[in-house]
Amino acid sequence: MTVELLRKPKIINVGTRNFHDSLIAQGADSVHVDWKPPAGGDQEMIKLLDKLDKL
Amino acid sequence: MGKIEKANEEAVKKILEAKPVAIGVKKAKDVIPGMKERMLLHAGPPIEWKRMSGPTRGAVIGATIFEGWADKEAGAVKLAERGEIEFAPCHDHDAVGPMAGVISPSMSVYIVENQTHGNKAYCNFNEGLGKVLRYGAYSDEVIENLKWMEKEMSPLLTEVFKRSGPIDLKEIISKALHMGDECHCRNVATSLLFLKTMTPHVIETGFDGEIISRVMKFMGDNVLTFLNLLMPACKAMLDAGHGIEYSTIVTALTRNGTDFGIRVSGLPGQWFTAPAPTPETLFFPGFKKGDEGRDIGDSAIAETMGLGGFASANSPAVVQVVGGTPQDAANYSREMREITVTKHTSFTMPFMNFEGTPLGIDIRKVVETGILPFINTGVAHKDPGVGGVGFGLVRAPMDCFKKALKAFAEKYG
Repeated sequence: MTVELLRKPKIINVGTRNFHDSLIAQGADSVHVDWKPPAGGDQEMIKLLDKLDKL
Repeated sequence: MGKIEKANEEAVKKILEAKPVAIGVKKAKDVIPGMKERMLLHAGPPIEWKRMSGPTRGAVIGATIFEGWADKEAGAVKLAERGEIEFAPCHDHDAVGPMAGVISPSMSVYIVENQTHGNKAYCNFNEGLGKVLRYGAYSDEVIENLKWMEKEMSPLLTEVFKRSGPIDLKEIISKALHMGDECHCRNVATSLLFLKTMTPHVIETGFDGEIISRVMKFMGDNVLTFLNLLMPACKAMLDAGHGIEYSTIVTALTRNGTDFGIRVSGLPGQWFTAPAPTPETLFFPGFKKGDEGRDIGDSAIAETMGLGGFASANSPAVVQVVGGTPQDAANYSREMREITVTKHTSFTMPFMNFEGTPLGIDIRKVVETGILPFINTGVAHKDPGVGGVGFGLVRAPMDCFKKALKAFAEKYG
């Protein structure tokens, strides 16, 4: 099983697309998930969203 | 269910229940609430003369000449600079205007009524493309065309509406969405369906054949004839869901060429603004990159209602203007699901297995996902006096939504 994975890895790339693009360029089998942190990581907005979630 | 979810459900329920019908034509000063003798309404959030964009200034100059308050550009500019013309957003007067969106007291406007809830919305007539007032042009031919619209088109349409009775705009929009329109930049089917509905009543008026011929040719040649009925229809539907406590639903996306502004259901009477972005533009022949002004017009009321860019899947041809594919068009519609709370029950997209268009932009979802509303739009020249330069695609700026979220949390949090 481990050997199989090393031979042909299946990759799910989360977040930064560059990693996915590099893998594809090298012939790897990668699926990209376009994930970003909530509110782009803006702490003030995250706090406000959390506050409104409780209403 | 939380208070916000409950409020949003109520807001979109009202928006979905709304039934906009066109009921007539009258002078703006006779029907638009709060319209004054020396007032000009404009698109977008509030703005003073000093900060107005080129196309808005051009339209103000043209409307001032059209009204006879000044006979030349210099006189019009002086009046505006001295503060002798009152400016107000169309939206604050139950109205909407495409591009510069300038509506003056003597202009005729369509009256649209939401039969379900009784509220009304107003919009002037569409003048066609190119050198027209709404794109900031104000040459003699522009003013002459506006005067002709008052002299021949307005009286004919007034009589048509007396004979037709209320014309169901929701039905026209629903049908046109299955005929290749996204109902913002492409209003070919809506315009033809409207003309078809009008035609027997036009003949019944008994007006002079030459007048009928001129008006019907003008309206028939203009692929955006219906835009000025679509916009008040959307406004009338969205206003039904405005002013609901705890609702985070956006009830207007709009621009004045300087600022982009949004209105939020649970925050009535407030505007949340950010600098208007520059659209990615496909230029008309004779224009080039650098000619385009910043995003302008109340017409993004179409996107607020789940049409235009939100219904991109219906009109791949519109996305093609900037090199997009039918798949891109579908992806835009899919993406807009992420920031909306429901799907329209009457406005559907054949290419998406007749799924409803994404409806009810939630400021929380925009801020949380970082996905910005996608808008198809006309583009005006950056300078006054020139006119339209092309069509483009643009995204609403994030700051409007962040500011709205802060104000919402202050009020309800």
